[in-house]
Amino acid sequence: MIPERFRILMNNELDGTNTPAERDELETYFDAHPQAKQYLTNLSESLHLLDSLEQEDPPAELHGRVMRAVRATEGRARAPWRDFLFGRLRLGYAFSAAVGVVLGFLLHTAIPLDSMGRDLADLDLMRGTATGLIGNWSAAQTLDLHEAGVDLTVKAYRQADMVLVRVTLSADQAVSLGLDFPGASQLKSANYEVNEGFDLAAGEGLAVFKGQGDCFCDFLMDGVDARPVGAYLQFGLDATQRREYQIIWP
Amino acid sequence: MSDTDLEIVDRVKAGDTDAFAGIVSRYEKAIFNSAYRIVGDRDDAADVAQATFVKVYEKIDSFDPAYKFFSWLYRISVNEAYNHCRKKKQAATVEMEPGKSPPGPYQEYRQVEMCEQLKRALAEMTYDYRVIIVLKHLMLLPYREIAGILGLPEKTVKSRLFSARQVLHRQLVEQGYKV
Repeated sequence: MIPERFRILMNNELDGTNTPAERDELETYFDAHPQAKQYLTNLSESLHLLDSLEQEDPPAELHGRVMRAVRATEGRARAPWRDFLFGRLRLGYAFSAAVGVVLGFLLHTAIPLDSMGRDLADLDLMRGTATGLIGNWSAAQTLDLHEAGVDLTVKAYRQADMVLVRVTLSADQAVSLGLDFPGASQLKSANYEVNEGFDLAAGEGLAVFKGQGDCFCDFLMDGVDARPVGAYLQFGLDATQRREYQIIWP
Repeated sequence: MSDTDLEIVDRVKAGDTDAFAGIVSRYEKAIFNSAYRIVGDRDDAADVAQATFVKVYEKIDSFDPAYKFFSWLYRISVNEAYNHCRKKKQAATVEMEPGKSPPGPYQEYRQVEMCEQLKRALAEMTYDYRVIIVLKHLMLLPYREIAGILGLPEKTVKSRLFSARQVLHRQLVEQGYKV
């Protein structure tokens, strides 16, 4: 077993990026572990084989094929609504979002903000469509995590069997975030802002975020029962790097 | 002087679809080769390359010029290759195409044999390791670019690369390659 420090130095040696001092440190280690030196030599020779793999010419028709495919998508491809409907939200959930937008607009225009008790106007829910959500909402149940280049805040509010969730995620590395709302029957509305490279899907009591960068999401669902909301955050593709949490209702 | 990537991107954004041919010409060989080493089959690699360029075209309005264009392109390509492997349920291993027959002088034969061993060794690696070997050793990308493409910190890339190098060596030894 090679200690981590010398794994790093051996890797650097293969890249030719060790400083003279690091090379001396590695040589000292090799003096005590000659088999490690031999192993590095063998590794180096194996990697040199990769130089023999030459780049191959792509099929001659590839360029034309690509341009035909690009032209076939022209006109429909770069319409923002298409990306919204088919890319990030998936078709079924986009419909729910559309219903939510209409609902939000009706709430905003038809009901005075102070007519039904405490609202969540400060959330600026459904940006551009309504400034608040009416009702007697619970205080926020918060999951706050700042670790390994990942800043995550999940704020969950509850009113009867309806749950409003705001997720703010900023990740320097690829992560997966899953949220499971027991019993949820319907995604009523959603508002997403995600970076390129982020993928998310929500509905039927489950929301899954995957990617790297910044992600903002509000979503509202009903039929949620009183069990805790399950949450996990996984770093990278390694399932062992998964942390699990619960958001417990008051 | 040929247009820069950003100039071409701007023209495509402005509606000049023909300008996109410049992007395809510039990167098709690199994207095809990285896909080929990841998915292990020329036809599949061509499919991945095509899907990559179409997605780039579709998403070009969302490209942030603060980032390097080719890093963004590679990232999409690697994701497409991964999706392809997943669809074919080959994420763990891929089957490399049989090589050309090895007639000719001994040296040439040895060269072909070594390439075949190498292809098989790559095919036996998991996707995570294979893609990092391809980006570092075949596409010759620096760590920072690889980190951007894979969405991993540089430190993790280095650590994973060393493991991948070890796995590749082990696979070669298992296939009878003598150092």
